[in-house]
Amino acid sequence: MTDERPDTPARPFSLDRRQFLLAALGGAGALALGACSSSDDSSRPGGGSASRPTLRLAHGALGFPSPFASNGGPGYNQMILLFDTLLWKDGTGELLPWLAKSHKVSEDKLTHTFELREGVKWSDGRPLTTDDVVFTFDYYAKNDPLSPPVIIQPPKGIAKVAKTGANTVEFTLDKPRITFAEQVAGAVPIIPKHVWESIRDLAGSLDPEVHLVGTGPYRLESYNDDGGPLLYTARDDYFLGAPYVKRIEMNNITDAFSGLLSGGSDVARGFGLRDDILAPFESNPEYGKITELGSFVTAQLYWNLGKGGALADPRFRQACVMAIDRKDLVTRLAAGKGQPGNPGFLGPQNPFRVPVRQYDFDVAGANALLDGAGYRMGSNGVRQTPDGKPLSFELRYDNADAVPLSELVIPALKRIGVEPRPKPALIGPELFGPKLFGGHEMAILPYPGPAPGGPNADPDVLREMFSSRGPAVSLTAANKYVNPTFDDLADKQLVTFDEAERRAIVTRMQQIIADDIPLIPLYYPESALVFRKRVLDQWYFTPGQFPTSEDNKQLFITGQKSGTKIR
Amino acid sequence: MTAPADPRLEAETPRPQRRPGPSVLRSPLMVVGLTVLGLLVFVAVFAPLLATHDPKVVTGAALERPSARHWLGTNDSGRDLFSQLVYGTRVSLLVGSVGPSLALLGAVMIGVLPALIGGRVDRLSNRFVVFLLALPGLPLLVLIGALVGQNQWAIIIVIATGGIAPNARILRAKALSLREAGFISAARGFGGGPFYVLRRHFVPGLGPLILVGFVTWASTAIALEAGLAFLGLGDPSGVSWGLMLERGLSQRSLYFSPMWTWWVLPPGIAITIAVMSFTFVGVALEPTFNPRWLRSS
Repeated sequence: MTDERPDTPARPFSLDRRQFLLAALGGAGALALGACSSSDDSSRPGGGSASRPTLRLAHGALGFPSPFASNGGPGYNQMILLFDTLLWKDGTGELLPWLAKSHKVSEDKLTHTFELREGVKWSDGRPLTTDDVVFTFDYYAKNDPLSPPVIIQPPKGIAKVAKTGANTVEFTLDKPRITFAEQVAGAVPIIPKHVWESIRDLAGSLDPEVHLVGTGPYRLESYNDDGGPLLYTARDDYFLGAPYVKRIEMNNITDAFSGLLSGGSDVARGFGLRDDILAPFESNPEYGKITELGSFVTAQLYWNLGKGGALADPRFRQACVMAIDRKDLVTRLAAGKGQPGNPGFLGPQNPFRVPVRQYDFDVAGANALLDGAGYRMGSNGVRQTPDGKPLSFELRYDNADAVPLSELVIPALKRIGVEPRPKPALIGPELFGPKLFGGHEMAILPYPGPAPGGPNADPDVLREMFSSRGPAVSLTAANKYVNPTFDDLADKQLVTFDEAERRAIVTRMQQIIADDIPLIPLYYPESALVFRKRVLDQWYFTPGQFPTSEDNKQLFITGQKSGTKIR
Repeated sequence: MTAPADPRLEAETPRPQRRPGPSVLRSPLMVVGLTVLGLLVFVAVFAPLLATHDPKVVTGAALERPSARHWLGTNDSGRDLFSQLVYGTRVSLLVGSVGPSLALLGAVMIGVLPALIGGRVDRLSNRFVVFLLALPGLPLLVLIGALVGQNQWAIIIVIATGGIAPNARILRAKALSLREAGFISAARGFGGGPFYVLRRHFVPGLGPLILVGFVTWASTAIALEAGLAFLGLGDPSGVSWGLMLERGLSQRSLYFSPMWTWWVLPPGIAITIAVMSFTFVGVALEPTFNPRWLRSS
């Protein structure tokens, strides 16, 4: 394999001047970074003699890439290139030994013992020790939860972390948790004790020389504030060997697909993409494409059950769902590439998903349901509750991405005598504040986390989204939904290690959610990722979408979809 | 009996304000500007008859190409773009008329009235105008727009606010010169009351400047409305040329498809035409009314 430089590949169609200018503008920053690149490295200390590629990604910094200041999913991906976890997931979904070379679980599932690799070094040259691991979890536990969109939060349910040998660390849990390995050991970055032990201001620790000391496979060579370009270079002394991708350049390119065509980036991704966007890549063998249904950006319609009245009545919510043609949403808003939202919440590619009540598009049925529930149609076309209150609710949505969706959902609800009062808002406190603190009535929001993964994640996401025993404040969870049966099942699946038994529990949970419908995912657009094969050809969406999705460092380190062996 | 002519007074008396004569109305710029404005007003008034669909209702598939049913195709939810273009005229003309009217009203309040009162009031209001002028215009408007929220009237208020200070400065200068003019003193000396002086001398003296200010700020207002909507500060549930532009340009990889030619180009052209028509009228009026032109002539 040869190093991919910004040469323009042959294409079966030509760009006109406008397209060329747009693409050239988008790629200019990345090309500028590329101009500073060193030549191919043909000597690999830890591996073979093949030269190693430079990878260019079409987005800039999302926050400062430390565990305490990186933003959201892509920000986590940028941070975890500098830090490591005890375990790490590859493209098959298997949790690989990472900083830990072995992981043992006691019979009662309460004790997890990790044996650390020897010879792992922090980027400042000091050795990684078991003290660092113990310190990391103590440190997270001592600190308050960080505000979203920082996704790494103090792990819950850990009673004690202790050093039990020169290279072994033992975690004792409050109670068994089936998600511990994936969501704690496989997600929480280990931080150096010698750097962080004296630091109290987590979010304000933004010195790249100090606060980005990690064991990760890359060093950050250039950081230019939030949103700016990032430049990573591989650590050839990495414990798995010199990473396959030698250099990673990240730069904001407004139109990633134009950037990919022009040679300014090597990957572009999007949701529900039009055919004309994909056509130039699908007809050119230089590019590859992978797709997935049901990743984390699914738009959802929320009702605030805490407001009472019709909002707390499942028949009302069921009627709303029946009034919305979710297949039509896929056709219009996802170019026909996707699936209607599932009232049972789990995504199309979630192995735990089971068929549940679907509420097909049926306006007459929805009207009949509301009639039967005592919501009489008023003379103004708005129904009223039996005690005379109009079914008129404020509907919040973001004033950019959700506008087309609102133009379809609002008329649909009006057809059954429900009056949504549009309240578009800028993404930020104006939009999210009422949802967080229960001030809204209805809302259309994307699914931005922080619940792990999304609809295709481990089914524990159902507990995160719908259990009334979860955090009181959540950007994504259903508001004030209380069903003790569901809550009991949610707690039980978390401690159930027998897969068949857990599957039965999760099936029942989905059925309850589909009947009660505390929120409805409106549609799942197909996620598509297009890439230049000559740079990396084994891209994948990480199964379960957690802790990362497509920018999995395992691929960058090994050049392959699975395992730790470097290509 | 008439008062004897005083050479000093004669020298101080400003040149009598010209009125728009037939030559101004016949200038090519004025003819083109007024004709286009007339057409825009016609489209705005008769929008319900000219539009082929309700611009706020989904009437087709998403992203349809232009056809006999949808002359400019449809947007990403399936709303008719031609009808949005037609109804968008209303917003532009509303903003282009109400915004400058409020701006000029404000300019009279903080520019002309204090000048007529004089003394401390005038000094204070003048300082306030200078302060407003010192603020950076567009960023301030964007900030106000973000704070007051997203609706059409908020945008109009924002645009009006932006037009107060520059017009107040010009009107104040003219009001001060009129106040000291000899013919005003003469009129007062002959027993002319405040309302008589205001009606006979101030209104005719300031009126043309207000007209030029209105026309000039109208073209700015239309462009500003589009700009604010483009920046995401418009009411996304409304229909305007700026919102059409913003929505069209936000389509992912827009230029992979020819849809920009029927989605982005038409509102862009419409905004250009509307702005230019007001500009033509303003340019045609300037040689007659703008004080700088008058001085140089």
